[in-house]
Amino acid sequence: MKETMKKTPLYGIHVASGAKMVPFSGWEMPLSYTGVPDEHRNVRRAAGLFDVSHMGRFELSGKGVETFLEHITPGPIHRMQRRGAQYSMLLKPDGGIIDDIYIYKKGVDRFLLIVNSSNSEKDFQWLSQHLPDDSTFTLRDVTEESALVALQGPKSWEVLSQILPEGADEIPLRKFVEAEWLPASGAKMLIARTGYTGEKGYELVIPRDVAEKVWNALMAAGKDLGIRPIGLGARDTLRLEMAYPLYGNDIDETTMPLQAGLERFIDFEKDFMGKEALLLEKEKGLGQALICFELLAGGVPRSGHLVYSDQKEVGKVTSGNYSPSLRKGIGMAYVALPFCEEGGELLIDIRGKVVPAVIVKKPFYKKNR
Amino acid sequence: MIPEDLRYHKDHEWVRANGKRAVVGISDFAQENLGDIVYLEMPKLGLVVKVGDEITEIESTKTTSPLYAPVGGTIVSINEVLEDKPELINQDAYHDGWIVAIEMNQPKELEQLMTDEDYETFLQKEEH
Repeated sequence: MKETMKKTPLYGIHVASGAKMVPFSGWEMPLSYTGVPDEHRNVRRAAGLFDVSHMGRFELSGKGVETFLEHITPGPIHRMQRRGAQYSMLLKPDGGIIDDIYIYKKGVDRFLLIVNSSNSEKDFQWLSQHLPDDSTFTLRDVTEESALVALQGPKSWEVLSQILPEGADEIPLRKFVEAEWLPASGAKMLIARTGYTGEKGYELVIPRDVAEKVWNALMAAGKDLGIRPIGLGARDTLRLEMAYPLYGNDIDETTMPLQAGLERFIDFEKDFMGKEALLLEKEKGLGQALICFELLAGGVPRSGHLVYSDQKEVGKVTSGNYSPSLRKGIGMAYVALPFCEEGGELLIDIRGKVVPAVIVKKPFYKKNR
Repeated sequence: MIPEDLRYHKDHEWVRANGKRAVVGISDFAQENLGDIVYLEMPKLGLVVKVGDEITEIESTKTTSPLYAPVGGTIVSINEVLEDKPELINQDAYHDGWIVAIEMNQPKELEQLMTDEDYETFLQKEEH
């Protein structure tokens, strides 16, 4: 099996630094380097560097691409400016979520899509199948041409600015720049102010052949600021503390965007794939909602645990873990609507032990400032 | 390194016996497989267990794993430090990461457990 696993351009660095490597949707990825809670707190406190090169990257360009994206995704593509980024989804006609994605607008009718690794092939097929018959534009999977690195944490700009030309301007939230990195003469990097941790941070698309150089330069630049490499384990606990949904856990083809609390990414003023189903859902009532809860006693909730209100089963946990920042068990669950009120108490069945929990506002983790 | 002075249960608990008192923890192999341990609820003092009973559950960032009693008896001591620093199990599984002490009602049960050499062989088989 191992021989068929894909390796990112930074694989050698991970192995050399003693990372615990695990298979993850066909890739051999670092789970952790020194320990998940440690790495987690390091990102909240200082800065961390993540290799997320396994995530799928597609380039879409040619006349009519913007119109196509407007139809195939529910967000307001027309409001995107050049060098802007937008969180969005691919929806089925019945409203089920094929994937959650990030869209980057490089120019008129030129876009980059970043998708979940586990859905990459499915997404590519879905997009290919729905290209207009008369389209002349190109859809290309460019995943293996680059590395995708996330630099996250309160010190991330201090780190990043050291490898940018002197006097480089801060990148505004959900915007990106395409910068040439000097030692890589000619090799352009895309640097976006986006992330999946809730901290200030950046995601860098780096040409494959200079990926190691850039990684090492960032690690060196951040050495005195406390930068550390961070694995997928901490990436998961960081995103959970922010209540960011994880595809496959909290959202999938059977869950609806409105139930998942993703309404703010949907533009009902325009037409898009799945719109009718979403309107119908709105009209009928959502039935259930994805809520956040904190345990009121010891224990760690996990995906699949049932949720009760008194004796009545009212929902199911979709993500759960121990929060390194809050130092308690936290989770997200789909819960029947009358039981979704903030402050309401629920019971989580943790393998036969019933633990009380309270519904809280998202995110779990709020910065002290 | 698997310490020589301990006895091992097939579920990867270790026992350090002194008279009737048995200190219990999990092996390095077990903590390595569990990943980062983030929480465990301590059993109540005075809890009576027999071999194979679940004493508590160990929660890591990856999964949940039961801690089974490698010997029978009464729980007479718990490692309270773990309530704040469960990562001690990862850092020092055989010493600071001990979990409970059991006053054995049948110290003969120790003979059913593996020696360090048996355990090493056992692990080699497990890995295949």
